[in-house]
This record gives sequence, structure tokens and C-alpha cells, in this order.
Amino acid sequence: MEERPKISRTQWLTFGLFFILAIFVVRLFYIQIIEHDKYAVLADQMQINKRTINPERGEFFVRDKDGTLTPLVLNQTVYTVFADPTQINDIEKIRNLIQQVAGGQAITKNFDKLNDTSTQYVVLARQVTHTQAEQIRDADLAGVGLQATSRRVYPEGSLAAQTLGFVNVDGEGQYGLEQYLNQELTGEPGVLQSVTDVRHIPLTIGAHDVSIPAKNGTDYVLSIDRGIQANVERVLADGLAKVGATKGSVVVMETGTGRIVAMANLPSYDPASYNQVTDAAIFQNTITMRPYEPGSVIKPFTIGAAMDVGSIGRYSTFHNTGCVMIADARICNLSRQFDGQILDMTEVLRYSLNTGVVWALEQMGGGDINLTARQRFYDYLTEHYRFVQKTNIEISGEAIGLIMQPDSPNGAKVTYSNMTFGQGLNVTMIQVIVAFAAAINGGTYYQPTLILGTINKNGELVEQKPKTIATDILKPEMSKNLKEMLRAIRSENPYTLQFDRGYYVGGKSGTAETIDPATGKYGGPTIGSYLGFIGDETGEPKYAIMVRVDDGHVAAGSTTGTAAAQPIFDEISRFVIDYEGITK
Amino acid sequence: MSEWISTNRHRDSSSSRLGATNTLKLGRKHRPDYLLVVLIVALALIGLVVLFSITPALTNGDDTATWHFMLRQGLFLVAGLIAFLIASRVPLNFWHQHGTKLFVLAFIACFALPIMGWLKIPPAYCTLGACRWYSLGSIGTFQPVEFLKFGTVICVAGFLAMRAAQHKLNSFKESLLPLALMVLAILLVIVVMQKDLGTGVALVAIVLTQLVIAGVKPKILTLAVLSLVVVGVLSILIAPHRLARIATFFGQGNEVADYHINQAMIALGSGGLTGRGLGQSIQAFGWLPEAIHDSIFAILGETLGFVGLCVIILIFAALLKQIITKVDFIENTYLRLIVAGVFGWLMAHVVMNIGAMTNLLPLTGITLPLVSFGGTSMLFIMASLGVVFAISRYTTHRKVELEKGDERANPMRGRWLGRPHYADRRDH
Repeated sequence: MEERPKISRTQWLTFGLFFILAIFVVRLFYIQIIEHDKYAVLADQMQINKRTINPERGEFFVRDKDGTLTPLVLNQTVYTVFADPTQINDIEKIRNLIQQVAGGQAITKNFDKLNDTSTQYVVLARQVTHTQAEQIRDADLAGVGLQATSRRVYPEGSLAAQTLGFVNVDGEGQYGLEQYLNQELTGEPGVLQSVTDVRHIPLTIGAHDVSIPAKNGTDYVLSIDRGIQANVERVLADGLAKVGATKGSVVVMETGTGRIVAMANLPSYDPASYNQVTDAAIFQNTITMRPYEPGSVIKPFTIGAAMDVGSIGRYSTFHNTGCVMIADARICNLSRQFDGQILDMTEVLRYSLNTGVVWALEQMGGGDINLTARQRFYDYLTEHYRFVQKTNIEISGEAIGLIMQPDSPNGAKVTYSNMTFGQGLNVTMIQVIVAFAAAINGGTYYQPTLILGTINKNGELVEQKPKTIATDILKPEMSKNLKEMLRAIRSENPYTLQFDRGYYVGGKSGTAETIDPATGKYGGPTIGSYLGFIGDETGEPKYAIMVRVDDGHVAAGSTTGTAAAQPIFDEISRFVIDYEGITK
Repeated sequence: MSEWISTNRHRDSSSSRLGATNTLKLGRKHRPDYLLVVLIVALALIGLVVLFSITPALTNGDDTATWHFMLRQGLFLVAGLIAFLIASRVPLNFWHQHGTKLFVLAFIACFALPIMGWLKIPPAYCTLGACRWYSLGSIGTFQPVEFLKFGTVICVAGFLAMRAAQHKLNSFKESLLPLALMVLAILLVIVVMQKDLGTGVALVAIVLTQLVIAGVKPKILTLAVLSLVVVGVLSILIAPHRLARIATFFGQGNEVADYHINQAMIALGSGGLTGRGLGQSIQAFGWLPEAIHDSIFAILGETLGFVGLCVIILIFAALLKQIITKVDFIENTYLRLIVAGVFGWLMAHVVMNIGAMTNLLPLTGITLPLVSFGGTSMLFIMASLGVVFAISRYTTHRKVELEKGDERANPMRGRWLGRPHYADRRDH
């Protein structure tokens, strides 16, 4: 029989119970108070679903002749098909479906990885269209997922390729507008953060909810005119073919606004398949990125500067000796049939006389290419014509070119003489055409732009006003003189007249010698350029057009400026006159 | 088993101190212990409020479904209260006379279930290979093991009280062997056939508590516990799902097995000191399995925090203390053992549930009494508490002293000594 316990059995049980409950309280204190932060973090990580909402990249539109907007660059949602090998159960079925639906987009070499359960992500196909993706989704295969991504599509193919640039796999704009406007085009990602249930469906409870909608990128309407751009590209291609050239560029600008209506470079590429381009140089926009010695198209700028400072007048004459000695250099005219004649400044431009523009520079120094002359000319080139600085056109990687300082100790005199006819200085086509527009439009330098405006939330075009940078490029009277002199070159020439048909068109060709990389001296293939404008019946300039042909082959006695570049200008100017309905 | 039942029916008049006519000799009736009711209702209401607060999570915010669910929960509580009321009104003699029949009925109900499940007879409702429920159509399901716990409490109390009166409590042949066979039979049906280890442990806890209170020798108790441990280990080794749970408990489980307990810990831990507040539970939205049943404690912790859980544990402590203390103030062995059984039952549930949720014990899938949502469990726990409530009418004023050499004091003797045994100051 049992001894009577000092403590009864009920008391033992009670003590036992309280002891266990006390352990629970201590344990709960540990979990809920001491380790609270740890579990709170674990809970948040698990329960809170933070999702980045990707903004849609801005798109590009261009105007047609009638003003309707046509997409030039659009976004398309494509899908990446992936599988989680730890979740799939029928590898054979997945293989067959992907091969059948995705076809060429299927990454068949990854199919073997479906057996590898050490990974949870195997890409089965990329760039699958919405329709294909739906077929895959409808098959409802365990462990197979779709990931939406966006890619750029180009309804107009390679149109204005170097102007647009492209978007790389990381979604970053490369070259052209895409890179320059990358931030605006990208927009701002949104955030959707909420407490969710186990199926990741957001709940209404919880103080952690955040909902910031994505700010989509800006949609731009380009100043590019689809009709003119397409024509320019076609004419440029034909023009280059005629002279056996492969490289050439054309830019067309509204002289009264700074808007670029066409900008074309050849050879070109298809931005949709930019990754197939082997030579990255093709991505470069020659017009803004490749400075060159443009040759005689600079002569109007020299005459304009000399007239503007009052050193010469439109009708000033000089005695053409055919060649002049500047320091130890002999500068001659290409055409020697006007040697010994007294000629005025229009004739200097018409016959493209190097000695004439050197004379004009001498007049700026009171008869000598002294520091004053050089200083004044440099001032016009850099401050008035704004060479050697960015025009800030919306193309990334703009070059600024190079002009020798007027007080350089050695050879400044010779270099400055050469600069009067476009040798010995480096400028870009965009710098030249904008300065040219300013020099003939009365002296107003407009900010060159590729953007007509943006599209607002309602889908309406909000135009961007032309931006004036300076109004005193040349005095209005001198600007008018220069314009009329350039017009005379074409209107008094029976050959050019047949293209211009009495319309107000002016222009100047240029053929630049290049430095032969083999010898380091002038003697390489010449670069032909043409710089001109179209005006209305009152003579008011409307469009400036500049053409550059890098590697044309023309008959002996002819120049690439007149035989390769000028025909392209002739064609384009005639097209623009008709297309825009210019009056005469 | 049948041996002792027949013995019981034989009414061995020479040793019956419970009354030769199988009628309980009860003392003076006094006011019952209403504190029991207060504590029970407090727990049930806390459970109900938290359950209501997470109902939208369970019904995906569907208003009609939410309303229906809340109504159902409320009805279960009402049904539980009715069970409590009925049980507290049933004459204690009824249990004494029909306890064995109730047990046999419950045992058959449990035994038939897996067999019906294997034969695919409709009322048997099985999930994950375990047949533990009878499907009752739109009313819900009926879990006969809860009935069996009730039956076991009543029946074992009767058996041990009889043996104690016969001074054969520590007799191996007449007392312990039949009881061991009975427990083994129960475990066979519950643990092996129904694959429900948690309930098996609860049933063993009931019987053990009753053995302790009955006054079985410590040596025998130790032996009983040791043999149960052996049985327990064997039962774990033969069932893979239990091994997995044990592995989880020792940090060796895989992610799937760990999921439930990890989610419970996150619920508790993220609740912090004062909890997220009513209706702010996130774990209830599918993260934590069995949120309203076995895992309700973790949801309480997330909603009400450490402070709330301490209050709940305190109420449980008070309720259990209130129940076990009754034992010392009851002269009748049979009634003492009923109260002890109910105590063992509740304590096993509370300890196993909270222990599992706090990762101190392996997960066994057992409800938190009165708080968990579960019709059958609520019904029979309420009924058993109703019986305790009824017994609380017959407590003595002073602690009952057990005489040396006698497992039970003779209630008759005590009564005639004129002590105010049944008096209650509050009543008289």
C-alpha cells in the first residue's frame, strides 16, 4: 500500500501543468518578443509582394504630307518561354509543344537542361509572339511559364536608321535619338507593393501597400517628313550608285524653324536586326558624328563674314591671278580659265575661286591675313556660325570638329587661307547646314531639332516651338546679299535651271581634298558636297539641303562636288518643291 | 475487457462501497462552480471573435459565404453550450450506469470507420488515407474519436473506482491487465487504423491521469509510462508521416514537412507583443495550414500578440486548476476519476497543441479545446465540462483526506462524522 504523499497527487499534477504552461510563456516570449524582428522580416518577405511595373518605352511617329502621324518605332510585346525543371512532369510533351509552336524561336539546345533539377529556370524560346504565347499558355503545362518583354519594331524598316538608333537587349537606347532621349523614352518604373495571400493575390489589409503607377516614356513626333525622308534615301542611294560610291549623307532642314525634315546616311542597316551588323561604324550618323573638311561649300560663309564686317561688298571686285603665294604655300584655283580677270564676289562663288576668298580674308585684315583678319574670321566661324560647338541636335555622340586658333604660332596664315575655301578645318554637316540656314534666312540661328513635338495623354500632338539661339549671325542685308548671290549661281546656269524651273533655289558645291592615310598628305579621294536652299516666290528661304558623297568616282576634269553631290541636291530640291508645293 | 464489464454488472455486493444498487451516493447538493462557466465562455468567445475576424480570409471576402461561415461557427458554439447544459443536467447516476455502454458504442463507431472507409461505404469520410470522420451531409462531419474520449473518461473512471473499492487497484491480473488491453485496443483503432497519433496520446493521457488520481503505486505508474513509450516509439517507426513530423521537429525535415510549423512560427513571431490586431491576420490567408483548426493558437498569437496569448494561457491555467482542484474536494472515487479524466483530456490537448505551435513538440494535429473551430471536439469537450460542472455541485467544503492503506475514503463514514462536507459557504 502507498505511503501518503506529503504533496497530494493533484498538487503534483497542478505543478506539472503550471510548469509546462510557464515553459510555453517563456517560449512565446522568446518567439514573439526576442525574435519578433526576425519573424517580422520573414513575414514581410513572404507576405509582401513587391512588383516593379515597367513603363512602356516612348514611341516615335512621323508626319505624312497630309499631317497624319505614322509610327516609325513601336513597341511589341513578345514572350520568353521558360521552364522550371523542378516543377515539370512531362518533358516530352513540353519539347513537342515548344518545337511545334515556337518553331525557329525555340532554343532546342536548352531542351536537354529540362532534366537538370538543380536549376529552376531554363529558357525554351525567345521573342515568341502573343499568338504563339497563347497557344503555349492554353496547353497549361506544369512548370512552363511565359515572361512578357518588349521589343522595338520598325514599320518603315531601315528608314532614318542612324537618326533613330536602336534599343539593345537591356532596353537601353544606343546611338541616335534612342540614346539621346533614352531617359525621356524610358519613363519611370512604377511600384506595386501589397500584402498578399498564399496565391499572391493582393489583400486590402496591411500598412505596407504601395501603388505607384509606372510613368510611361514620352512618345515623340519627329520633324522628319516620311515622304521627304523616303525620297531622300532613294535619291541618295541612286546618286551614290551612279558614281560608284557607297558612303553618302543628306540632311534637309527647314530654314525658318531648325526642324530637320530628312536625315539620311548610307550605308544603312535595319534597326530591328541591329545585332547582325558587323561594322559598328554603320551605326554612326555621319551628319552629326563625322566632322570633315567640307571644301568650297564654306566659301559663302567666308564671303558672308567679310561682307558682314564691312571689309568687302557684294560687288567688290578683285584681280584673279589664278594662284597666290601665302607664306610658303601656293594656293591656286581649280579652274584656271578665269585667270587675269577682274571678278566680283558672285563670280568668285560661281567659279569657286580660291584666290577670291583668300582675297576676301585679306580684306578683313586690311589687305593682309594678319592676326586681325584671322581673329575676325575665327570669330565668325566659331561665334557666328557656331562651328566647334555642339548644335545639340537630339543625336547622341555629336562631334564638334576642330578649327585652329588664330594666334597659333606656325602656319596660321596658310591654314586660315585654306579655311576660306573649306580646307584645314573640321566641321560636321549639321553645323554647316544650321549655320547656312542662319546665314541666308536673315541671320537667325535656330536650334536644329528632329522633334516636332510630343504626344500627350489624349493622343494629341503638342508642338515644340522653334528655338532661336541667335539673331545676329549676319546682318539682314548681308544675309539677303548672300542668298541672292547663291541663287544667281543656279539661276544663271542653264544646267541647274532645268531642275529649278524658275523656282528660287540657290547653292554651292564643294570638293574637298582629303589626307591620304598612306602618305599623310593631301591626295586621297575627294569628298563631294553640295549646300543649297529652296525659297518661295518672295525669295524667302524654306529649306536648306546639304549633300555629302564620300567616295564617288567621277570623270577626269569633273569634281565630286558637282558630279556626285550636286545631282543629288538637284533631284531632292525638285522633289521637295513639288512635294511641299513651293510657289514661284 | 469483457471480463471487467461483466464483473461490473455482477455487482459484487461484498465490496461495493458505491452502493449495492449501483447508485451513486451523493452528498448534499449545492451551488455549482460558476467560475468554470465563466472561464469556458471566455475561451470560447475569444476563439469565436478571432475566428470571426479571420473569416473573410477563409471565404475570399465573399460576403454571403462569410455570413454563412460565421453563422455556422456561432451555431457550433451554441450546440456546444447546449451539450454543456444537457451534460450538466444529466443525473450523475446516468453516466455511472451507462458509461460502459457509451464507451462500447463509441469504440464501435471508431472501429467501423476505417473498415467502412476501406470498403468505400459513403458516410465514412477519408482524407490523405486517414478515415477519421463520418460525413453527415450539410450538417458537417462527425469525428467519433471525440466521443470515444468522452466514453473513455466515463468508463475507465467506473472501472478504476470499482477496483479501488475492491482494494484491487494495484492487482495486475484484475485491474492493470484489463486496462492495458483496453488501452491497446483503443490505440490499435485510433493510432494504427485511423492513423491519429495525437488523439492516441490524448486518450493515454486521460487514462494515465485517472490512474494517478486513483492512487496506483508509483512503481506501476512508471512501468505503465515506460511501456507506453515503447508503444509510442513503435507507432512512430511504422508510420512514415510521423517519422517526417519527428524529423521536422529535430530540424531534419524537408521544406514541405517544415512548412506548417515554419508558418506557425512566422504567425507567432510577427504578432509581437500586442499582435497585428483583430482582422489583421495575414497568415490566415492561406499561408498557415489549418488556420482555424489545429493552428488557431498561432493565429491568436499573430492577432493578439504575446499579451493576448498570455491571457489565453492564463485562462486555460485557471480552468485546468479549477478542474483538478475539484478532485481534492470530492469524496466519491468515481466522480474524482471523471474529473481527473476531463483534466487529462483538456491538458493533453492544450499542451500538445501549444507545444506543437511553439515548436516544442512534434506536430500531431490536435485541437486547442474550446478555441479551435471544430464541431465534434467542441461538442464533447463541452459535454465533459458539463459533467464536471454537475459534479461541482457535490464538492466538500474541506479537502478530503485519504487514509493510509485506503485508496478512497469512505464517503459514508465521513458523512456520519458530521463534518460539514457538502456545505458551501456561498450557498448556505
